Amino acid sequence: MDKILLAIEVLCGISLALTLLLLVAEFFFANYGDCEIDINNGDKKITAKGGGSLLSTLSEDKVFIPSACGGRGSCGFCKCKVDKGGGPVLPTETPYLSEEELKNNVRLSCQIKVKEDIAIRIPEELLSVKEFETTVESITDLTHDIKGVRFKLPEGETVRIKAGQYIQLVAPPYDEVHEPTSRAYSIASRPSDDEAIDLIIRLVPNGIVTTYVFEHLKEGDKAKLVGPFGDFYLRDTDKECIFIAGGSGLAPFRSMLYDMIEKGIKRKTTFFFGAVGLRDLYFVEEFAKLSEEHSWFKFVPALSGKEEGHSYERGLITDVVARSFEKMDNHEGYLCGSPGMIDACVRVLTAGGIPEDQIFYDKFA
Amino acid sequence: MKQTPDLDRAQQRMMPGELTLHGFLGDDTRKLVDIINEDGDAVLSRGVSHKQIADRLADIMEQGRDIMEREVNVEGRFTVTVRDDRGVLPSPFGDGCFEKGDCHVVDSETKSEFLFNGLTIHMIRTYGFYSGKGSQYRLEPAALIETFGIKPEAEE
Amino acid sequence: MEVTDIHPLVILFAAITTDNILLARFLGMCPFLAVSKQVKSSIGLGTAVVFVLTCTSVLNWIVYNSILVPYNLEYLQYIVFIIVIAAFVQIVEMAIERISMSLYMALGIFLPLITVNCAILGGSLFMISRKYTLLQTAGFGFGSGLGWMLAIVAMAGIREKMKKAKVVPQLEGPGIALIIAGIMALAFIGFSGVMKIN
Repeated sequence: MDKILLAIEVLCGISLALTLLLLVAEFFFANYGDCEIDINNGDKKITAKGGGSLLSTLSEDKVFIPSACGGRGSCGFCKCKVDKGGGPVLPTETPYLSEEELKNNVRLSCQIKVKEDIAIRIPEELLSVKEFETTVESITDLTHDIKGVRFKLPEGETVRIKAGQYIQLVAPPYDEVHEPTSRAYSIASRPSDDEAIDLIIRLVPNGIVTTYVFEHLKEGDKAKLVGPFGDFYLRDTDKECIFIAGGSGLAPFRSMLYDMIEKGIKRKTTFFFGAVGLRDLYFVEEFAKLSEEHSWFKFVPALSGKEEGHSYERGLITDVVARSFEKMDNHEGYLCGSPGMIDACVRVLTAGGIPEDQIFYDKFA
Repeated sequence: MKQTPDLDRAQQRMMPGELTLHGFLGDDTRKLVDIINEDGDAVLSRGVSHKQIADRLADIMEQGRDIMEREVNVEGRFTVTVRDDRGVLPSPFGDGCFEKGDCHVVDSETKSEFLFNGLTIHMIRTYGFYSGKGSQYRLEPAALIETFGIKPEAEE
Repeated sequence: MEVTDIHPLVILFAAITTDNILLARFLGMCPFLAVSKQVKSSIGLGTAVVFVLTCTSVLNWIVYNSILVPYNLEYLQYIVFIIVIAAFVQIVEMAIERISMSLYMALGIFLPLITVNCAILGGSLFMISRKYTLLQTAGFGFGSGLGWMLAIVAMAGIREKMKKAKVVPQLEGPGIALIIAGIMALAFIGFSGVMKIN
């Protein structure tokens, strides 16, 4: 009996000693204390417990760097510039960084462990990225497969957007979907309308988030939005603007146009909206009215179908754009729509004489 | 047949709600390795390869593209509609993200329909996976080879 | 000649060559087959094994001779050794993460996997059954680690070359790897008897 007890005691003793050793080791090795993260030269300072990844530490303090893979180091999206701290560049980062970026201290924030004070620089607009717990104010059927949804922010909260940016809508787990899933949608409401967000959403067959919006979301429901993101916004020049949209791509231009009107920007602007038939058009009266009220703005819906009984332009959006301009030597292009449409429009605009760096579009992944 | 942990993981990700709403397997309860093997036999016994089939489907999809997503008649026989959705779908095999826009093909001769996209073409090409039976993306190798006229490659 | 008279350096060299823990004893086969596809990763794993094997056999010698033997609890050696190895690997992992992030990333999952590498436990059990002294244990642990690393790096080198070779389809992968391991073991056995270690 004694022998058994002794054995148990010794075993427990050894385990205890090793546990203590581990705790001591952890205290020495894994305790990094409080670290200060300086963002954009003092714009924002975060004091956080060290040990986590930069990406997750930042997101705990509501600074969201876009990441598609959730910090596994497989998408290469969460880049930021690290001026101080952060340690050497790791082999897990190098495949995603160009030589130029390596020289400029660009790093993947999900691979950096916060062990000391760190100074980073991120695009300014990321600092205004927030998570919003909104309420669905209204859902409108715009066409047979496009809905407009208005999300009301909680009382007292506002959102700062640049006209043209997008935001991520997070669908909660439903039916057989077990994880929250987020997808990006362009914002259709103007920046001064900062207590709510309008999104225009087109049904994607079998899409997790769009199916949720079309079949489950009701007025009065809660919905989570994260954003805004993106660098698709009106550039500060006085060139003539060509806006081209297809399908749900109308959203950012609605935001941009109202913003231009409010700010008194009177750049000559032509907005081409491509669709197949009459049933695919929406917001037409609204834009037609705007173009009546403002001489600098022209709205051109174009239908590619063979349908009769309308006075809109006929033909593919690309052809309509091409024949509307003799030359495009003092123009900027802004595009939003399906990838194929964007590619085709870029070809038309560059053929017309617009350099590629003056054609803007969001290819959000 | 026993399957590798890699396939176990892939099969897990093919369940409904994991990566896509309805998953990749339909009501097929067989193991992934058996699904792939059975289809693989069907393809090999006709003397063609997965790559040939995938290339042919990708070719049909390319010809069927229209920037307004209208129906396109391909080769005078197939009515093809390709959706041009933004965004990508991750592969359940964990090897990247692929185009999500669906390509819908109706064959005017046999009246049979086919549905695929960038991701399912990739899975055919790389893994010989034609989706589980009952899935709306299920493609029968025999029907594909027959309908799209895929001929055995000449021996090297 | 008593075992205690053998010079630790002799044990070290013997453990690398004639008594190679992998090729003569076939211990640690699992990672040997799984991680020997590339020279680079096999060097990483090999380094980690050298380090852990050396330290744990010394540590276990101390625990065994100063705790288990006085209390007549030798039969607990298996469980105690494994606990010690597990704890030690944890500490090593933390230390490497703190000191050199790049080495930590290079070793990756291999580091925790070492805990269940039977070469490590085997090393500890051999030094007990052969009644080594502390210094001899250190030499044996280090040598066994080096030997294991030598074997896996050689294996990885061969397998990298094998990529260009045509192998009977039925033997591709683990099959041909086992055959190669067998031939390598034959070569190492050729050294046996040159040095005596127990």
